[in-house]
Amino acid sequence: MSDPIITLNDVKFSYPTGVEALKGITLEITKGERIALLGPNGSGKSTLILLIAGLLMPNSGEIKVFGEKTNSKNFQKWRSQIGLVFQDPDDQLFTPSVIDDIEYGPKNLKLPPDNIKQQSTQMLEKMNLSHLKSRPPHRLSFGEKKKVSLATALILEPKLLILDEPTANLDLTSRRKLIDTLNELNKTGTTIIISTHDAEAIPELADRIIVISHGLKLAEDKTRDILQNKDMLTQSGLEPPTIVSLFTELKNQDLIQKIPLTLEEGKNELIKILKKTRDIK
Amino acid sequence: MGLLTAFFFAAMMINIPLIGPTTAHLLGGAVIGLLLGPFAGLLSMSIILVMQAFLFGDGGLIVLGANVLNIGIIGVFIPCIIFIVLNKLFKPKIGPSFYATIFLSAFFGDLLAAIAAGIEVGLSPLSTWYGLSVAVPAMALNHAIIGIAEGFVTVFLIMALINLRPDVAEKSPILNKLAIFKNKTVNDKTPLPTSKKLNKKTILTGLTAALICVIIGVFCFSNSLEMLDLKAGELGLTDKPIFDPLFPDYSLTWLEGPWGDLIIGVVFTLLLFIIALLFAKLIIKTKNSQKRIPRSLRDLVNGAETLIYIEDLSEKKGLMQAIHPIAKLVTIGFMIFSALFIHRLSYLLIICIVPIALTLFSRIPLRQLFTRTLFIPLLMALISIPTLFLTAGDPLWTANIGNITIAITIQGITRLLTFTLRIWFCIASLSLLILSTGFDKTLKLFATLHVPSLIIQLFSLTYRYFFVSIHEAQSILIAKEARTYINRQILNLQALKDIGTMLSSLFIRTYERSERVYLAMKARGFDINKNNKLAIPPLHAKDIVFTTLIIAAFVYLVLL
Repeated sequence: MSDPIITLNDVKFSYPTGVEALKGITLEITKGERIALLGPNGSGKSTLILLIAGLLMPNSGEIKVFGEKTNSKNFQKWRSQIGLVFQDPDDQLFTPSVIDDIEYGPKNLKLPPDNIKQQSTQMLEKMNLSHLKSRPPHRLSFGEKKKVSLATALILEPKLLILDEPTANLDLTSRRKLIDTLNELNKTGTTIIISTHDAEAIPELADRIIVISHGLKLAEDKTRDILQNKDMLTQSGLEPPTIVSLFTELKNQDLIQKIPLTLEEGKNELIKILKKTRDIK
Repeated sequence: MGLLTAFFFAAMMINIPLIGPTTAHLLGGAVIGLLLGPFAGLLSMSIILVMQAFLFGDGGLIVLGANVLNIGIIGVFIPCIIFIVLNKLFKPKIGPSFYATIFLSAFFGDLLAAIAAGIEVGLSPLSTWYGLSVAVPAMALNHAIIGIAEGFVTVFLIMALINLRPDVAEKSPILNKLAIFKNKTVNDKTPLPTSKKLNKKTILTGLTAALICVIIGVFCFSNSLEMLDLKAGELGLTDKPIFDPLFPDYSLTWLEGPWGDLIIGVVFTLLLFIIALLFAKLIIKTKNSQKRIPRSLRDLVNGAETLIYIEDLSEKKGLMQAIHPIAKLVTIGFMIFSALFIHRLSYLLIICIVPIALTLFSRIPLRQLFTRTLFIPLLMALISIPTLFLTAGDPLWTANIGNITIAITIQGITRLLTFTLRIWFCIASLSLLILSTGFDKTLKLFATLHVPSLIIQLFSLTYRYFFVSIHEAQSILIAKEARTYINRQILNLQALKDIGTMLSSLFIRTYERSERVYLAMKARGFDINKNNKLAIPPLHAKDIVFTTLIIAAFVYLVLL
């Protein structure tokens, strides 16, 4: 068992308007994991993310980051290690130009200016953003904004990267690229937490799923086990990926044994069945 | 994160001149003041005014100081004071009487700001023709009407706010003084971060800057006349001031004594108001028949397009764009300064070629320069027509009306031309500076001048979210248009209520976004107490050559 990065113990949070967003959440996330927080709109996912990133402080319960208990005063020292990408890139990008936004974090850390320049140039190249360098954010497309948002978080090389609805509103190519980028990062040791209500993207992005519903943790298990539990998902206002729904039907009629999660697995499973039927003939 | 509300109001300033035939800007000071508290309100209002002056050429830089005084200080503080006093006196509960206090505060805020502008106009150099007794009632009357609209909009906005997000209202430094909120238990007692962060230094810097602007404005144009009109134009009906000063001029001859002035002032103002109204109505009709887009929406889109256009210009590879902003500032500053010492018409004509040439070299279309700069000098020329008659010298043309002789003198014409050219030169130079420098470069320029980083941050956020606000306002407006079946032309209560609720929903959206942006900033290590110095590129030889050349040329012209 490797080191826990994030530990939440019976965390509760209410907004000033009186909305009780989290009603006691306990969970643990260890180094190198890929976690998906799955839940319908308004379930408390985004609040949970803000708490993990130390941007909100719980009303009760405790949060440990890298093994240390956090409070509003000491959180500053982990800021550079936790990268957060907001759902709406218009929230994330708040400076007059792309380059300013990318350099915002390092500048706040007071890194030497030469290093910052070098890092930001590398980051722009890596993300294929160099041509947008001096563009103001309001003149970028949504996909470009999303990409810049990710770059603003990645430039600090965080150990934990949190993304709120990363795939929302992205076209298929951008989505594919995003998934690849995130998985590469994970291979280099970055822990990744994504929040989403889009079960379709999860099999490629997460090993473990935590289901949040009405401010409570409903379930927590390996991606496969959660996504195949159609009843539980429907009950909390979610849907399994199309391929899972399809094969669950087939399994219910005893046509197959194993439910695939991805297109690749589905293809293999189908080939197996088709071959079998051919052999019988 | 009250900081960000600044951008909401930036949008609001363009957003409002919409309903009814009058194209008046509501000032919004009351709302800002009541929600953010007077000091933060002043700051955000000043920022709006500065941005307007810079980016739209609306109002102009010269009268910035006066505007900050009128709209910023008076327009924000007075409503707060009135509101607090009224609430201390009557202790109303939330209900009609409470909203009445809000209405009154907004109304008087507008009125007093207008009266102040009127006084300044009256005291300005033109007072020979256009005294206090005329200016004050003229401004007051207009703004009494605008004030009513402003009052209602403010009421509806705050009403909606209290209903929808009571917690925000409670955090407001002014509103939370009320007994009505005292009995409620609030989870989150933290005030809006702005009010905490606004230290004395920041406010002082702002005030000093405003003061400097006033002084420079007065100094530069002490014997010119435009102080008054820009102010009047900024505050009131844009099409009115053109006529305003002319009438009092003629009227003075017939009726004498303060009472006569006052009566004539009021009568003419009324008349002008009606004319302006008819005029505006006519314009709206023709415009509406051309396009069926609601005007407010068009205003928004136009505003955004102007800005984007400027951005494009500032990224072109031209002469001025290649010059370091500081060098540009120094050069243009010197150009304007030396223009004040050039009195000969021929030399003035020569220097006027400079901004034109620079514009061409910078690949900025001349049309852009002229449309941005011609309006004000022409206005000035129109106002100063009396100069033609009042300057002693060789008569060129004379006319007798009854027993009064009017004469146009050659000296008068020269004076008028000199004056107009000089103003055009100054405005054109400034516009060139703005057109060729992108917004983020301008901000970096501020940073080198040791403007506090909080203010710079405010500016950059305002600029950034101006677009987002426009976008949101646009979608609200479109949604509203899609469901509006009656085309309302006259100012009525329902229309004002609509604006109020629309603005409040925009405000709440904006506020909630500002909360998220604040978190996003924090997530990347933002700390209000730390200062971020922006990196400024070094000066190059070409910058110095450029500056020296132009300065030398102007010194030569002045000494000639």
